[in-house]
Amino acid sequence: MTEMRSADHVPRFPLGILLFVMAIALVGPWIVPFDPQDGNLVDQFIPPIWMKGGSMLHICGTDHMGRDVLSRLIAGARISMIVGFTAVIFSGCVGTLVAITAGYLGGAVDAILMRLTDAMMSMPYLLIGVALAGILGPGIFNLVVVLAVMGWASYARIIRAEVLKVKTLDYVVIARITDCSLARILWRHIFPNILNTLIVLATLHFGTSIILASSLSFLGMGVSPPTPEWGLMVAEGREHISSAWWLSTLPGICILLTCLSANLLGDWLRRRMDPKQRQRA
Amino acid sequence: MIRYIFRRLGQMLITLILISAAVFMLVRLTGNPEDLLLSPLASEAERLVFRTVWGLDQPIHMQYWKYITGIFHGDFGTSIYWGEPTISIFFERFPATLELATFAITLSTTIGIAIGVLSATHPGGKIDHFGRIFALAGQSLPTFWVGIMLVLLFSVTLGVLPTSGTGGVAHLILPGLTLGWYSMAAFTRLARSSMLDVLDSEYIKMCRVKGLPEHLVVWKHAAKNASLPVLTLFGLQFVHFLSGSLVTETIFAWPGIGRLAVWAVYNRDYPVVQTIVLLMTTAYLVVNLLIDVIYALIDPRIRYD
Amino acid sequence: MKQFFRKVVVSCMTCATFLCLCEAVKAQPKDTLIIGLASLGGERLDYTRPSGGTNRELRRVLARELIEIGPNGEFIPGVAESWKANAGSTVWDLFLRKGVKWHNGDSLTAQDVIFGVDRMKRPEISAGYFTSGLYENLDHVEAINDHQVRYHFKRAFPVFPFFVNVALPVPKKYLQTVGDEVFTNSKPVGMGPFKLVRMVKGGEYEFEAFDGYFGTKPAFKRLILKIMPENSTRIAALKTGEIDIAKDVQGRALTELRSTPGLSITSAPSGTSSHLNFAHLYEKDSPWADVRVRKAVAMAIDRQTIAMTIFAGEASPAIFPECGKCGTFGMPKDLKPWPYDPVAAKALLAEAGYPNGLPGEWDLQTMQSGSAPSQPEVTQAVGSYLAKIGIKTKFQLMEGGAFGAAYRSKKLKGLPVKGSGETNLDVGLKKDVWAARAEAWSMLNDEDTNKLWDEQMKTADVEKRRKLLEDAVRIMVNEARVIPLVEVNTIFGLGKRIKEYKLRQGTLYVTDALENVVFK
Repeated sequence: MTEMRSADHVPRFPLGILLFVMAIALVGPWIVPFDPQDGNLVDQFIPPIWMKGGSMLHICGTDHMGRDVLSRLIAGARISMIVGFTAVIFSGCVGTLVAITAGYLGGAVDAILMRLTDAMMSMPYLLIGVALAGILGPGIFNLVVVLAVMGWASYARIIRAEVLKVKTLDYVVIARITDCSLARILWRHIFPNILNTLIVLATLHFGTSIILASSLSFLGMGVSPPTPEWGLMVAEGREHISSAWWLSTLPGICILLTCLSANLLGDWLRRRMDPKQRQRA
Repeated sequence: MIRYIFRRLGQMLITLILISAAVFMLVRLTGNPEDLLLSPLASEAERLVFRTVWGLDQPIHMQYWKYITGIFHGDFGTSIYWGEPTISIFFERFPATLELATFAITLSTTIGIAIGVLSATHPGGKIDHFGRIFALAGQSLPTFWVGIMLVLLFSVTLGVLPTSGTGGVAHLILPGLTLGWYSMAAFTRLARSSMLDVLDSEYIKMCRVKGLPEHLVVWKHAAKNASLPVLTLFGLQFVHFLSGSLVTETIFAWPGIGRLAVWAVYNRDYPVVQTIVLLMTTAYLVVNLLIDVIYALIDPRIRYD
Repeated sequence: MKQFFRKVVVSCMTCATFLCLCEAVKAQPKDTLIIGLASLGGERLDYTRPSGGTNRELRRVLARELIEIGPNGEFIPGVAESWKANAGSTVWDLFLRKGVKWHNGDSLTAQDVIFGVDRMKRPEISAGYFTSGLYENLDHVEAINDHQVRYHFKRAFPVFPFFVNVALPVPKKYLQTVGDEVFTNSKPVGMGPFKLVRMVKGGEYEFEAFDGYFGTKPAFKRLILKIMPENSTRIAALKTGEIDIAKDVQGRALTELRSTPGLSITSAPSGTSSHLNFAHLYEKDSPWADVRVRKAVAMAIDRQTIAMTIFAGEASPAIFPECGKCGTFGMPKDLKPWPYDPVAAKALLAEAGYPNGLPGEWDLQTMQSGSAPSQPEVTQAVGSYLAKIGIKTKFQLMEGGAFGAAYRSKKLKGLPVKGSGETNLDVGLKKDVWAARAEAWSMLNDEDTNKLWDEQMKTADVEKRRKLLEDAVRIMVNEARVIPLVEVNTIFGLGKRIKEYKLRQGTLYVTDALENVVFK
């Protein structure tokens, strides 16, 4: 009755998808068949190639402004990757910094920082995101800032718990006693030990960021047209959903696959990092 | 325990003050309500009158002081857009959100836990595979896309469910599914992993050795012990539904707090935004506290002092 | 174990199916009209203040104007049956219809009109509603008798009929009894065709026909306004018969509606259009100061294609930021829209010294607006056309309030695209195009047109005013000081039960003329 985790090797499918998307993101601007941001009005609503009325020119069809959907999907990969990575890096850095400071220094610093973190986590997150986006205005950079602000708190919480655990490890205690400099202790001893958790969190947060970005765009608060961001494409396409279903469905599938792969990868990483706890999610 | 509760309440108060101040300033940075409310042809004099009537011409710390002292008198401010007390606006819409949240949480817990437990008790089987895929897919799809697809399928193509609005149970199904989809997946995963852990424990092994029938082992003994993390998730998700249903309410024209919130932010109706954030945050903190207390009561190993 | 589960699942599914069938079978009650729209503004029920609080939809349901607008844009009697000015247009007499009743049974008299005018002066009532159009010039009002009101103005006010509805009559006795709070938020009393029966804030509003209504009564007894913010949901509801009329349908949805059996659309010129402005018009060394560059822009845009694609044919090329099709006062009838001629446009640019197009990248801003939802798309299309003649632009979608504030304070750079929302059908009132007063909303400030505009404001003679306005319009069009884009139609989707719904010119609101709704 006890389950033995069988053959837990690297999940090839999700990793493959993520690498593929990243590759597309890198070479995107050079391989797009058409300009993702411009189109000919007369060419609007051409269906994808496998449907009646489709054409070889536009494999995934065109949207309401006559822009080629495939080009927009490719360009969108770049934007989603940028948004996802930067959001994760920003929130990861801020969150880790807060966590390490709070966890290591303890005392009043810990109490204050954790109060702040709690406050951050108790706020209705989407509403805050909407308000922030309202202040900053549309744009990729602003979107990243909003996502970073919304995300750092969960990093802080979890990593702090890890820091507390690591603090009690033998060699860390010895390092403190032998008067190693603070920076050295933090960098050489604490940080490597929380790195595993950080990586897992980052991978999972990557998927969440993409979905959050698309939700904000749906509410009109993310990037603005004519930026070919996947979430914005779904939002723009919903007006035409019963007649030009591919406008919302195709970018939706891209979001799904990317996020799913990130989640699967993150899951696998978590399982690998904690053999003792036997997390079977 | 009592001391712990009081300590937590004190911390809650500090957190709420911090948050209310932050939101107070945040909304005022989004712009001026008169830009949207007044006709664009309004003169400077008219705009000044508007700001004076709403107290927006005062320095910001004065405004905040007035706001805080008002709260202690039960006055949460008056909506700029509607002209009514924000509290009554909030509670006019709150029951709708509560109804939707309750339905969604019921749906997600029952289906999610059922699939999760079945997954755990039949590892490697068809249900397990389905459950894992279902869980992961659920957490990788944007809510609004799910909602629109559901409307397309069930309302337009099949015509069996209404497209929007409140009404009977039938009106709850699509929005409930849309809202609860993500957390259904979360419950599945959690129930599964929690259950797997417990099923492996010494205690359960003893039960089996004793010869207890399988359904008693699973549903009476294992479930009890696996329930704590699920309970936490339940609380968190419920509050999340209350405050985070913006997208679902928009798609299904559900007259709840979520739509009210987006509307208020967009129209810079400061008092409404402030009240919503304050009340929702309070709800979140209270639920958190309740969960921690219940934890301690249920599990004798947990001590807070 | 498995048996138990199976039983639970089966019974749940049976229940669900049963409930669904109940819902699907529920037929629409006859004698009721259900309208779906995106929003009702702030949903304040005080119909006297239709902006910043109550959407004008509610105003048309609960009340009527003093002077109404007819199917071709002319003034027709409303609550007032006739009106007349003295020789200098400084004193206007309003003669009220006899037998107009309020929803609570009281009769409408001149006292109610005076009370309405006085009430609207109070800042807490008028905050959010633009009233200076009337009050700036108003000296005082008096009641000559129970059915005659006299307005005294400080200066000539030939455009009085456009502004008289700024201050609608309110039931004096009722308001003094229940107070403003109740009147605004729960129990309004008006003199229109319907009275409020039930409301769910943010959800729906139910009305019942008022027997004592003085005008043409609609063909149905109950009216329900349902708020459905999501476009695709509204269209879906129209298809399933959940609603009978859908407001805010545009673009692609039209083709869908036209091709679905049983459904149809009704439309009329809305009197709104969008136009492109030149923020740098008066800068000496800016390329936009050259009329040839501006004309090039005017000819580079294929308005017909925009009308056909983005608006599915429910729009037409605009000649001037006014309703060209509505018989607008002051619009010369012989003006034609700019032709689409990119070759000529390029030639003009070359002539002006820019054979390879304009240097630099110009901001092309617009805002997302509920009343002009396709404006961002039109603007993007414009950017596309300008790129084809060598003018590079950068599209910027600004938030409503931010755009408005920047536009008004003249801080916008580049080429702002704005919609003109007023449907006054009188060019002289088009403040967003004319004179750059301190508080006005216009990018233009030219001596020749300023002079003409100031003069027509003072002229009481109708024909003289018309000539002045037409001259000014001709100058503006020929000098391409502002580039008109497209004139949009107001479109409503009609469901299976509706045979037709004739709209008047310049209408924007779905509840405008419900007496024209004809069932199948």
